[in-house]
Amino acid sequence: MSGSWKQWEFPNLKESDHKKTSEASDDYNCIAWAAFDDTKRWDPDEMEQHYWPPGIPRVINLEVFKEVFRRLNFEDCDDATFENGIEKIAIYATSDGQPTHIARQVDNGIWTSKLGYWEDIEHYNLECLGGEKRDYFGRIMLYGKPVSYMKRIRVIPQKAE
Amino acid sequence: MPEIAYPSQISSWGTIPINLGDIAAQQIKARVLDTQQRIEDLAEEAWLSVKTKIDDILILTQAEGDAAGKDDPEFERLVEEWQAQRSKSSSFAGRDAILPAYQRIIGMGPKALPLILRALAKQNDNWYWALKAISGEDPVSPEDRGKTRVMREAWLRWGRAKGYVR
Repeated sequence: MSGSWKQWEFPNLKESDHKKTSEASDDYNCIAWAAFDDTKRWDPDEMEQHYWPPGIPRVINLEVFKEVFRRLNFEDCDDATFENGIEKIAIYATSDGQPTHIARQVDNGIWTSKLGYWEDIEHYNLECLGGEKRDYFGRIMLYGKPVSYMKRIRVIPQKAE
Repeated sequence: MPEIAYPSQISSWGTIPINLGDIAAQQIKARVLDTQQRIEDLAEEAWLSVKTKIDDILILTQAEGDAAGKDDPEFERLVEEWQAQRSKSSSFAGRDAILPAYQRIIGMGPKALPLILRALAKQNDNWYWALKAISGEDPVSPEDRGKTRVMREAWLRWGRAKGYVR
């Protein structure tokens, strides 16, 4: 395991699925990273201590997360298939519909994710971050699976071949 | 602010030994005075910036000093429970805050404030929800929301002003 997370947090993540691309940081989180912001945490916390785009409800649900990215010119799309000149995001949710994570497509077959309070990684499929289990309190843990995809015209150039 | 020593020719205009004519001399004098003022402004600005950083470091250092040897067994136990209950793969503050141990820390009320501030001084963590819930105050300015290092400094400064940390 190349990062500082515990193996049980990502039971399906293999060494061959990813590479670490940053040191661990709590300066930003997955949603900020997906929105190209590594300067602050985007979080709809009701205590309003963290950044959240103005005018969007401070609630954790799928529709609210999608609205955040609509503000960034993303629109719904059907799947994660790579398209030239387009960038995509994948929103993960658990089986009770709670969004947990967002990954951003970097290039064909390459995604980038900020994992919780830990490192950024590049990963080569979306399934490797998936999984679900219940904890002692009955809460659903882990990221679940990708349930929604959005796309926009690419603003960051793809990596050179 | 430290005193700045300017070259003597800037402060003694009457002695420049070049005949430029009155208008040119006035223009040069005006420009040099303007530059002198700008240098003083920049020096003042730089000093204030350094002084603010020094103050921040002093606040953090003092708070970290306070953090040593003043543990509350109940608080320490709840923090340990909270750390065990939370998943750090999820990074949304609300999910940490609804955990039973975190709620019990909030339930300790104002007596938890110095303990939380000391914990925050030791290590940046998701204490902001509890601090605001207990105190009803919010020293973090809107433009600094989500910038955890700035938030940490703002709350420690607040704690110092309120006498919760020295």
